Amino acid sequence: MIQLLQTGMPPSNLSFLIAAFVVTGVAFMAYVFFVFRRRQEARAEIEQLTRTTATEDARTETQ
Amino acid sequence: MEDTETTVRQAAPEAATKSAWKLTPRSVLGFAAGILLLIDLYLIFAVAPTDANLGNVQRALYIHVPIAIISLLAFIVVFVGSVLYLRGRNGLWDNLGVAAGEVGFVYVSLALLTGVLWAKPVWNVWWTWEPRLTLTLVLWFIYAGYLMVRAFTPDRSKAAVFSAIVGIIGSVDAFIVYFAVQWWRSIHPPQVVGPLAESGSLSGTMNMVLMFSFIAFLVFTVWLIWERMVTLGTEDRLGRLRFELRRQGRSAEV
Repeated sequence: MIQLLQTGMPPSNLSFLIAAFVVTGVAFMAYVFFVFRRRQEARAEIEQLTRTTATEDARTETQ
Repeated sequence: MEDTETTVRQAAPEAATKSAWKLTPRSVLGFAAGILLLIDLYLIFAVAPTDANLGNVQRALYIHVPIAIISLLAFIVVFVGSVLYLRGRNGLWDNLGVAAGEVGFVYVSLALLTGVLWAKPVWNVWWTWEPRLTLTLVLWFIYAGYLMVRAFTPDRSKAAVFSAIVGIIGSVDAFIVYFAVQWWRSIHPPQVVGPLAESGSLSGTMNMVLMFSFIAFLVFTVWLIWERMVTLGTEDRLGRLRFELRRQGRSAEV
């Protein structure tokens, strides 16, 4: 930022530079979010299936 | 009945444990990657000198070059994972290939996007059909093809074999992309990183910042691939659990 303020650069160049950094940051954050959300969904489904199976088994046993 | 319960538990060993945040080598690596990227941002904007000819837009080099190089390295990981999977049919190698393929796709997309955003102010065009750019676009299509083969082949083991073959063939393009600027001299500048990099193409501080940026992105990439592999492992466990339940004639839907 210091370097940016020190030099008088054309504003159009600055917008391209900012766009490159913003696009990169947003893409990486979106991918990390996608990875963690998929894992969370898979874990939740595993847990729910295991719980449902255990409940069904307990019910069958009592019958 | 106990047998049934045991098989379901074996298919879903993780179900009993809640996913609480723990200090693991993976989380430490993620934290280190975050810190390195923050330091990298400081170095790019506060330490690296402004380029005399290109001005401040040249700072895009510190993210564009590492991202582009890592997109090629990711395909080497895809190649290794694919070859090892085809040799031993171990699912872990397949997961490594898929994780690297996905991360590589993100990187090659960003290499193209940051390149376009840099080309406009420097070359005065958004895009030109110059060998390296064209071959990088081809690499993007190969990565997309690799992931599509994966997503649209119904049989899991067939999908792994088909995508491994695409991964091995596609990795050839990654090598061509790196050597393109040597073989066909055109508007794209020559390598600044790697064995073919011309010495003295960047000043000392610029070179130091670029190397730091490369290391920061590399650590981040290793963490991303690792995290994706863990997610793929969890999805595999879910697949095994569903298969086991269907085999027992029970509902595998939540």
